[in-house]
Amino acid sequence: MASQHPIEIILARQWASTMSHPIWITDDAGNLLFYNVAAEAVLGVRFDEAGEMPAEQLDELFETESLDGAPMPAEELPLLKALTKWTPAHGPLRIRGHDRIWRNIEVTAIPLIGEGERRLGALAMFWELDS
Amino acid sequence: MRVKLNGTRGSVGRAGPETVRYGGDTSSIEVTSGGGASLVLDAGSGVVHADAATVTSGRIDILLTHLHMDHIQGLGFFRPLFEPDVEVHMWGPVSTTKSLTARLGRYLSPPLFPVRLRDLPSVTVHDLAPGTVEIGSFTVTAAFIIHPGQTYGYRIAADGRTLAYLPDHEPALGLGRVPTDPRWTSGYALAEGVDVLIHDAQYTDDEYSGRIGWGHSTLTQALDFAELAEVGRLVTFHHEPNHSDEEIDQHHSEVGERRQTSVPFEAGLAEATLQV
Ligand SMILES: [Zn+2]
Ligand SMILES: [Zn+2]
Repeated sequence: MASQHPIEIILARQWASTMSHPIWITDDAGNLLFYNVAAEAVLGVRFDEAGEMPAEQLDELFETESLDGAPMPAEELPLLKALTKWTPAHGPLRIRGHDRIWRNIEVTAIPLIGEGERRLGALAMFWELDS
Repeated sequence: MRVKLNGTRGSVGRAGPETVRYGGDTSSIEVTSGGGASLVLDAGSGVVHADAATVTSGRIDILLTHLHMDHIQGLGFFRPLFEPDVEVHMWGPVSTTKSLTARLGRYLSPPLFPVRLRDLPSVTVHDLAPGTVEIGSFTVTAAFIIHPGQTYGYRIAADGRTLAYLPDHEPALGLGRVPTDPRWTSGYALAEGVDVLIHDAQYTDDEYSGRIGWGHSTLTQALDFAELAEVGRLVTFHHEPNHSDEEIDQHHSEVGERRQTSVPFEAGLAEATLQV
């Protein structure tokens, strides 16, 4: 069996599942650990169906591009910035989930750094912009 | 491995005729390996009953789960700290903001205590990072568990046996029950398959509903956690100060009758010695 998640990640999930805006949680390598019910509405798939997912498989779940429709390099995604620079990152982008509808969203990503300077993962909150 | 329960009471001491059997002293246990080496876990008021409390030479290791008063209040009264020939090592959770020495120094300094930590003859303080360390003949694993403030649970291995000590723990926080997925359960990695689990069971189910987030478990939750982790035996700990011996007996037998459990369990008795 895979090992137990650190409590900072467990508590982040418990908290995220009580929030009304979309939240997405990854480990330090960007592997998906959890998204909440509000995020399900944007992605078009229930978390129970998608489950935890390796980072390289995430393009099956959604696509992203910049607001003007230009391709967006992965390293420009706020979540990846948070995971590489270990600082908060923020920015707008377009996302398309299983319903194939492009949505304009704004993302704030926060790195999760536990006591003992443990780089545990990141949490991304996102809001749909009025289009 | 031998485990002595020197202090079993939670939160605050409660001495009196109604707490004689389960004890009135706050959290402290002592673990001794076959080779004779020993570890003290937590230094609540019960630490004065430790066999190690009478030594005048050699080395003593004290592992603190966290710095709540009921887990450190016995430190200033633990004689070996004042013995120049005893090498005392204190271990506790690392923090980004302040060293363990600085945090302990808030208690071990006037006006709360007349003696300063730095004036003790031979004390070394270790800011312990999560992970595994060898201390003498013990393999000690520390991991953060759910309880207000940085709090460790410990897994101790020696003589081919394992013990988990999680005196203050609320794995049900958020869900309202212990999760069923081990990967999403606080403390699971520490307790998985241990021979003996010493775990918080402070509240009854009714009491818990008014104390969510206080950092403790019910007996029912402790049993759910023990079953999930498939431990050999559960010893309940951190008894609620308002529970008399009679109430603890009654509650444990009621819960035992109500549910079929694969894990033998008992309430930790004052100064009980467990063979692991
Ligand atoms: Zn306590
Ligand atoms: Zn506590």
